[in-house]
Amino acid sequence: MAVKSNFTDGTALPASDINSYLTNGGLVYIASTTFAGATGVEMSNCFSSTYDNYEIHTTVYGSAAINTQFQLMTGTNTKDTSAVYERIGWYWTTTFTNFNASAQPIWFNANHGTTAAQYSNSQTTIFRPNVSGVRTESRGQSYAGDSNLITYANQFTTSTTAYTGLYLFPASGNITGTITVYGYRKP
Amino acid sequence: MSDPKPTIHHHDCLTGETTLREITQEEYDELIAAANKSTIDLSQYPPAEQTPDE
Repeated sequence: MAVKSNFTDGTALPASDINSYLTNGGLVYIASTTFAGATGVEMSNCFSSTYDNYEIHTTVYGSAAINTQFQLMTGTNTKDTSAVYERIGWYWTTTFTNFNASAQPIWFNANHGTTAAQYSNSQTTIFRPNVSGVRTESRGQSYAGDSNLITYANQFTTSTTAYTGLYLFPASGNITGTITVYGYRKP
Repeated sequence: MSDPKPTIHHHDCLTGETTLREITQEEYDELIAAANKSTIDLSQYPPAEQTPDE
């Protein structure tokens, strides 16, 4: 939907315009799922040509104090497990620590604890995952309530695959929580 | 694999359908491989207890 910006005093607002604005904000909800004791969470068909860029929110705690990570998917649930993931970032506990890495099999998402009352939250923007011929890039930050561990990571893929989905999984154990995907509405 | 069996939570964003299935051996092997290959170093986790500044 193109954004209209030429309203003037006395302009009649058709119901269709009002409805469009009510249902088509800048950030458009795509999907969300809540999981419990999962070894991994596949968000299938969440990336398409409808949007270029996406916002991913995760809220997680787990059976072990460890990290969650992402792999991008094609098809229904084919994970890209190859070493195409790059990371430039830092984490903070009592000091800032570099945790850059090349040729990884995963993107980092967040650290988490084992306390249900202190979920770990992450917020990640993923740029153009479904556009073929370009690298997919992400920018994310997270906070683990158990430990006050904060992370910030710029990540990208060296591949130029058009991905259609996202896989969230812990480095070990299982996770409980929610993942939500939004799309940035295009003009 | 220990009990309860590792479960993959699959959500189709187009249909809204959620299905649960047992992880396959191949997926389990890939998961372990990813964990072993990744070089995330969060050695300070959990952090040492901090003393408030005087």
